[in-house]
Amino acid sequence: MSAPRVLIISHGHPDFSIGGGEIAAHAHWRELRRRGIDAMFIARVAQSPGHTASFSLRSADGMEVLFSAPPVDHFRHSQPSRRVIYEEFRALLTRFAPTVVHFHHYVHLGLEMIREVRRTVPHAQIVVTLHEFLAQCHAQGQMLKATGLLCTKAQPLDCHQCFPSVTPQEFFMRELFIKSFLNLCDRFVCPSAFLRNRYVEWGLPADKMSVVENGQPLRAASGGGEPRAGQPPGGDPSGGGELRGGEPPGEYLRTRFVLLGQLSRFKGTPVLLEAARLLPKRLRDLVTIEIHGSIQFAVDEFKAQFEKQLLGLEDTVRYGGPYRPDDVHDIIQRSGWVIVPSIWWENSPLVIQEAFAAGRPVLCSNVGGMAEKVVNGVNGLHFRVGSASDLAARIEEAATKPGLWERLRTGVPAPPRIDATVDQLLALYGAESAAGATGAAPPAAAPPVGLRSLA
Amino acid sequence: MTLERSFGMVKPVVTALKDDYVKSGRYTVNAKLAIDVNKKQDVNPNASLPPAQLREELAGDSAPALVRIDFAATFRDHLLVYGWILGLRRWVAGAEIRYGGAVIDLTSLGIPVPRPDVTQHFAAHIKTEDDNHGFCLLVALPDGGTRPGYLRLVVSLHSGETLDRVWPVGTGDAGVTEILQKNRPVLAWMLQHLPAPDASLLGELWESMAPGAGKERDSNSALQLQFGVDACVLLERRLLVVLGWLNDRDQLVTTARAKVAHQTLDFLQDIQVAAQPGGHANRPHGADASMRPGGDANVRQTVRGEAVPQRGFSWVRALPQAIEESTDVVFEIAAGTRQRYVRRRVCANALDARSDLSRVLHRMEPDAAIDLIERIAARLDDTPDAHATFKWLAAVHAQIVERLPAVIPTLELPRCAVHIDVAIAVADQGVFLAGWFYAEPGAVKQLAVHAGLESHRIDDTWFRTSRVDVTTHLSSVQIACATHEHGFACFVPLQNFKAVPFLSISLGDGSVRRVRLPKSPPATALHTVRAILTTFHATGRGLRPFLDRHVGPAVRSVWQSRARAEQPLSVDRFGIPPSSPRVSVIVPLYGRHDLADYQMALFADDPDFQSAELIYFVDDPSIYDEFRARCRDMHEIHGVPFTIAYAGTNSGFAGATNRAASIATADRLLLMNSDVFPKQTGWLGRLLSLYGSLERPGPLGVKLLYEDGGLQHAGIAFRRYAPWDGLWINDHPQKGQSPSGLAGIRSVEAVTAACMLVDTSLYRELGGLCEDFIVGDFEDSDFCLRAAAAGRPSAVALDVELYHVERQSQDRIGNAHWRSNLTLYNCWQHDLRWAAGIEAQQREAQQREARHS
Repeated sequence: MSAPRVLIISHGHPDFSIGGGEIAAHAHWRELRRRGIDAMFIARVAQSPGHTASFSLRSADGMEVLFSAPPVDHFRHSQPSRRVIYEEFRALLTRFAPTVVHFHHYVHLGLEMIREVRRTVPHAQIVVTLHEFLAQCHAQGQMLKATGLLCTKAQPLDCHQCFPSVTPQEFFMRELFIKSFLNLCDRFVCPSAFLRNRYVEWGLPADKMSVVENGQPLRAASGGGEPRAGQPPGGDPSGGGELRGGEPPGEYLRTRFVLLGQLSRFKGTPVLLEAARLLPKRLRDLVTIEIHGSIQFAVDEFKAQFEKQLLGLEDTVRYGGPYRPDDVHDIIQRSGWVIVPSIWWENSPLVIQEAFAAGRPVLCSNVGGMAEKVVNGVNGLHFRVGSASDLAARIEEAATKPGLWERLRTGVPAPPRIDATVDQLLALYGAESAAGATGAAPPAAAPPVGLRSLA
Repeated sequence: MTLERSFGMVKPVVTALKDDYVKSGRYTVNAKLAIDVNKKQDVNPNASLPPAQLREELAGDSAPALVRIDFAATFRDHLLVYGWILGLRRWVAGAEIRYGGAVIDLTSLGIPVPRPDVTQHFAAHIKTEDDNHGFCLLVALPDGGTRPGYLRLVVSLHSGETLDRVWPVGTGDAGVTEILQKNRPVLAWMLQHLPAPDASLLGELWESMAPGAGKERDSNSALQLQFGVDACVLLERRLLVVLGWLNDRDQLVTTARAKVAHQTLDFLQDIQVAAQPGGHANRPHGADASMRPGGDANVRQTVRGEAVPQRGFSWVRALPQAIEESTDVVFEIAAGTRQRYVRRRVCANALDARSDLSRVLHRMEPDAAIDLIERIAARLDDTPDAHATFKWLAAVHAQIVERLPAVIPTLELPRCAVHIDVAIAVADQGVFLAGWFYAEPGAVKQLAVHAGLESHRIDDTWFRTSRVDVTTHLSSVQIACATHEHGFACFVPLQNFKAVPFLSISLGDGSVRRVRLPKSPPATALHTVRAILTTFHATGRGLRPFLDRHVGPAVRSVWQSRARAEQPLSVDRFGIPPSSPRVSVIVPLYGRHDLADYQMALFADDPDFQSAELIYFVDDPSIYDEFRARCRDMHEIHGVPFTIAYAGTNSGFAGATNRAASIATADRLLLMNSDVFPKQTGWLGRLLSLYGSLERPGPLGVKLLYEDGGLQHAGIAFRRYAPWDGLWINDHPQKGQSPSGLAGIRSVEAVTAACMLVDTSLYRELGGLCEDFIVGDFEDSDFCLRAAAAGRPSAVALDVELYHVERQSQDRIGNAHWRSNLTLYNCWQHDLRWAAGIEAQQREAQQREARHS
């Protein structure tokens, strides 16, 4: 088999938009390049390059390309200006002749690109990474109903309830349309088993679904968190009870909690603030909750509510404002627990990986991808999704129960790293790799130790 | 004396008159009278008492006069009296003047005169409510009676009391002349303010008394008040048309004759007098004096403030012999012993006669004019060579119809009301009417629609509908209704469709009112059909006859007359079409052309579509350009070869499918809706091979599912639909239920054209889908029944499943009312053709089943 030529298509470029998907795609591409594989990265950007071509070069060697795709129909993720696809994209495909085309997303791009790949490079492997439930759920792909209830199955009548102006028939036609393109894919990559199962329930063939974590790029050593090169995915006890040099004592750390990320209703920020309010007085003095993140992109009513909720909690909650990605590790290090109170399912939240990277257990909602990555009583604690009182109880438990924090720390796994991820992906691609892939159907990545296997 | 106000002028005159009388001594009265007359009109200090009590003082010789004759004179066989009775309008029950054996009813023959001077005279002591105390009287006296110098005035009051007075009357030329001279201002005032006939009579009499008048006049009689001729015309030298006014003919007139050129005709025969109005609050003028040219409500006001109408008449009579030259018509009216002659000249010249009559007609109220024209037209048949006259008459009629009101306000008609909402022109066949009508029992005899002189009764067969809004409207003007059934709708076939149509309401009292029908703006056939079909709701009794007699014929006429310019098809092909396609798939597009994109996304991975001829027929001019611009994109992305065709118009489902079929090249046709989506690939090939395995198959349908997987169609069964008077409808048994257990090929009565496979040759043999069905519905079952009649019954292949996402391709129709009634029309039409056939088929099937079991 000839050397693989991989085309990675992303719906955004990390230089222009912040999001886990874009970051993962770009990291994926950089790792392939690091290994000397012919890989091209195409990122969709909103801005026009100023000239009349839709593609523009980001790097001199032409392997990092920006794609100014015209706006898509967001309901069925179709590209109305199809000429861009069957003329310019077709030309690019013909010239680059990839053997693997890996879509990190189709949103903002248009599903038609998938069919174009199948038509123009019929023998290429088409792989799609699924980051959320957009294919089945028009509500930002979160499967959270307009009523606030979590949605367990996408069905036209239910979708119509969330979007009364769209008929159930329209949702049905959307499903047929989207599936007609997804049917062309050879493989789907899911960052969590939860997501994979949801898609299998929706009708994607189980044998095409693989679970591969989004590995993080190798980070320079900072604050004591040394990378463990070559560590197989699995538990990495950071020493039972042994404190790293320079770390505050467990008794102190366990009373300190942190929430990091984009602040919004979906991320559960109001739930945390309400839980803080519900804490008994003695705990309010004992416990510190730090909140870091930008509310810039939140809706106005969330901002107003956020500010209102902060009032009266000054003794407990501190709002640290936005942060740089490079500061994540330092921020987490200062606390003992990371809280992920999202009210929607979540797939594979980056912050959980960051928490594990810093050796911190996670306090999260008991649903979806969160509950998959964090095992209750092993490397974190679950609370009932959306329940401020239950979260408050867990906070109390976490802050006061002797030995709990120390014990859970031992269960914290090493987070997946990009090189491991890419190894798995290359295996999926069926490419010959140094590890000697069998060429048979690539196995689904074995879940890391500690993860609950979902039925 | 200046005339600031005529009334004010009278006052000093009366005072002067009184003094004159006193001083002149020109009367012969008895002492009692003298006392009466000489007495100053002292006012009773107890004048706050009502007249009855004042009367008691009469006995005491200090009688206050509550009545007075200011002057009276007899001349030229007429009696002229001018005077007043206090409170004449309100307190007086009856008043009579007895003179020389004649008894004259003052209350009906007197003419009221306002007398503010009298009011003021009594003002300090008696409060009278108005100034209507005065009267004047001008009546003819019978022959042979005496002409005494006094008259007796007898007044009876509502209180029950009577006043009886004697007053002097001037007689003899000299005496009368003096009286007239003295009262010249009053007479002048009377000439100005009396009703026209009385004034002219007075004028004539006065003229005759005045020196140097010298005119010989016909002696005017009481008949002047009751009879007059306004117009007299001889049409075509043979048809006499007379218009005038006539009062109390039954009581006073004994003979009435018309003599013309040696022919004598009985005038009272065939006379048509305007109906008594009968005092309706609805008609403020009261009188139906519209007979009179000029349209003035010729009404006499009596002394008691009553409005007594002069009743107009019209008379149309064919003469036994034609008149050769212009001549006089002499009318001879006799009442008792008095005779009256009226002469009128008539022209033998037809054109002059016509223009005379035309002038008269145009001055009349339209209703009266049309009545007259209709009667003339009816008479015209009697006379030879009437054709030209008829045409002219029709032209005048048309002009007068233009003057008819467009609307009759609700309270104008007595005990009924009518309003036309729409009058829709139905091709050249007539007009479809919808509106509302309310009438108390007996108030209306009939309603009819007219076009020119053609008429058509409507209230015997029209369809009534519920109109709650009308009930609300009527109750807002204090009319209470027992039901809501006020609406009506009907089709009126008219031959004279070029004339302006109008509606006539024949009222219970014999009169006829007419109103023009509203104009309907020109519209396309489909719009007209929609207008007709939205005039009613399909509820209530008599739906079936309404459809049979009114809606059906009207809609059919409109639809058949639609513009059907056979435009050439614009055909575009995308991709390389298969050289010998196995099947031509025909998909009409309307509104949502993006459904084609959804379909092609699902055909893209189906090899069957590389060997099929896929034809999208654009049946919607508003989407053609946009759709066509996207076709290349769709082909490049999905890779399915297809053809688009466009006829520049909207033909409806049947028309679109037929035209598309005309360019299809394969042996099989698959009719497919744009909202049908395959469940799996390979369905078309499977369907074709199943079809091939059947012997002489008719239309072959498939199992269609809703998006939730429930059954949408597994064949059509006919059943009667009770809410639509038992019309046969196309039922999908088990609709919405689980589709499991339905497998194999099953014979059915019909299949839906949403997905139907049929031989191209059979399709063309049967003439394709029937385009009499409007927009879309029932043309598929109609086709299947025709196929069955040709020995090719329908079947459904239940192993082939597709989704039918209903209603997406029915966006075209929008409004639910219109959609529902359109379905009703198509259903009715279908039922008309097939009810018997369906019943026979079902009976046969039952018998077969009975035999097998």
